[in-house]
Amino acid sequence: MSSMLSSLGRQGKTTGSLVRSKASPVNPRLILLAVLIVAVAVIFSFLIPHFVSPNSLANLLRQTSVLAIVAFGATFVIVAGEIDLSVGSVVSLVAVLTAMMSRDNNPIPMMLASAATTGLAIGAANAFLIVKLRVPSFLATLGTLSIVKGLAMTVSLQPVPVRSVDFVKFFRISFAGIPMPFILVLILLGLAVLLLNYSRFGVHTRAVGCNEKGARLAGLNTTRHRYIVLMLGSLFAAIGGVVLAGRTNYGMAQSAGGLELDAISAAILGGSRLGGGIGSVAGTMLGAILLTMIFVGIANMGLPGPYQDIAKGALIGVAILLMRKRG
Amino acid sequence: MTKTSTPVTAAAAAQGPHKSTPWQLVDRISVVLYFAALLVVFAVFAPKAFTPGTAVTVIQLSIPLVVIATGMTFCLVCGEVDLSVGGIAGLSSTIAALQMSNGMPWPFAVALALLVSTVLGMLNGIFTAWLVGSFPRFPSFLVTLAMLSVSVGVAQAIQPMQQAIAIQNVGFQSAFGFGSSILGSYPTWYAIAVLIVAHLVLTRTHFGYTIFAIGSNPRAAEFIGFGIVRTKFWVLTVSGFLSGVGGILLAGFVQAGYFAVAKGTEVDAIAAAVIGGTALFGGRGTVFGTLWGVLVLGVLNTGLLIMQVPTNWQLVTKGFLVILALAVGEQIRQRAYKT
Repeated sequence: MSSMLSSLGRQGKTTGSLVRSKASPVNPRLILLAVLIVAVAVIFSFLIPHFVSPNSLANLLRQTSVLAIVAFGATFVIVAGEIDLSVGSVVSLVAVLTAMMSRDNNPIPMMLASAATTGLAIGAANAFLIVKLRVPSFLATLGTLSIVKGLAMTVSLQPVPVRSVDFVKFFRISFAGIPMPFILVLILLGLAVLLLNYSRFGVHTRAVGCNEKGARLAGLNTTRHRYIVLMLGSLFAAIGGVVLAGRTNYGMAQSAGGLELDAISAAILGGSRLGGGIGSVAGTMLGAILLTMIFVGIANMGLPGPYQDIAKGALIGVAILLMRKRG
Repeated sequence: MTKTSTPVTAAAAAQGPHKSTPWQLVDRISVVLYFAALLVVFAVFAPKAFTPGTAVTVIQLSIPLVVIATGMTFCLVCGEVDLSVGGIAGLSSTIAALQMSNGMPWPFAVALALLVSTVLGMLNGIFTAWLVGSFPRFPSFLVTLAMLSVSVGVAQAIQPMQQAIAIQNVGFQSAFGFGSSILGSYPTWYAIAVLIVAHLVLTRTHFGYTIFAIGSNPRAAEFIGFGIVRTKFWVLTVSGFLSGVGGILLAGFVQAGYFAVAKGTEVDAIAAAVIGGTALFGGRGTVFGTLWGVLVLGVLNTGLLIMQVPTNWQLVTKGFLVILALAVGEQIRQRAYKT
């Protein structure tokens, strides 16, 4: 109730972004995020030699890729007013499955098909719980998080190496210094921006997140739409799992723990609103880069483990402070 | 949807029993029914382990969690969430253990640990309610996520060699250790005291009423003149303090302080509160519902452990049963309030 009412109350402010996302040429939040990224990069470049070198930047982009892809999916889910905590488990399950299938010499299309099917199936299960049984999405996906993680551990407790040479080689390609995983991110970014900002699907998604009842009364099949959005979010996570397996050559059941929170943080830093209605895929992209830069920078500084946690928390806190709405 | 029934249930929680249909009655005691059903399943599948001794274990394991989940209930009813409880509890246990091993008398060590926990809760509150109050919805989610990271990091950093610190203080052991009988050990009484005080605060005081008002409709509450910033600040402070208490109780239970002693507690606390009927987005919830939710989780965990289910299937079963509880609860609620 509170979410619905407050979104109604804020409609005066939000209709602009609901109807026309291109009301202002460039979102000020994106500029702020870009400035933050540059500032963090400058700080780290003073502390760490060679932080801003082609090699380490390529490495940074490679490390961003999985988080960014998963966060794109999370953006759609958050804009539709839901939350999906199971994506981290989906990433690890898909990574393990992909590695297992490559070990059994399945062709690459089969590996991709099974990954997509897994993602869509888990998304559909989530949607069934949330839409049909009306379990709050936070808890429904918390349940599927542990179920999917259990399944991943059942498939294999040990890390599984990826055996398909072509598959691994594909992720090693780089064009003009941009590694393959990040090229995939850019393609998906383009698709996601089109889908969220320039298509009827995007308008419907924002409508469902902003005021579900209103959207239903306006003739939108909100049930079906929420199904599609949740399955899309899981599909993005499955793609993230494939990229993770390709990037690291391994599928591990324990690999992507906590990824869901990083993905949600990236989406929120990028301007999505928990509770629905507002979100920007480009913002999510920058949020993912900022978070990864913070993680990588702290790890490179060679601080002992605990200080990484402290600095990560403090930096996220500073980022939140800078991102708040004025007035 | 539940959302429309919120004021009704909030009022019911605040005013006590009123005339109700059978479904509404079932809705109110659904968590107790679920608990009973779990006990029956447990008794059928593991009759040998179905003993008073196991019951004592379940209750002892539940005591720290119930204290933490009570703070979480306050947050959830107010429309906030506190993800830092596990980190703060771990830090509190570490500080207490460290100071005692340095020779500080135990009351001072415990007081220091609780003070630090409260201050961290206040920081959560200052950030959430005051500094980023105008941040697009749910600032507490990100703020407390950052605090979780910070508190775990600090706890690790102050631990020499990053190992658990054993507590050998006799006074602490008698004040916070668990005896063989439940009523004979002090922690039980601390938990009961916390429950009663929290229940009274939530249902009988102006502060509690404000929490419900803000949780069910923040704008209306603001128009009426309730202090949103102040209330949210105190709610998160209470949660920090109770996390600290939970950490001390955990330290008493394992006789050691360790940064990861309460790892993952935030998830259990939220699950317990929501299984117990607290609305995830505010406006509805009771302390005793949360108590039952904690007991449900306790029976679930202990049962799976005793039946020697492998870890992966434990995860699957637990996730499935939590979802089942929520789905059934939701169906009952819809029938009860016909929306």
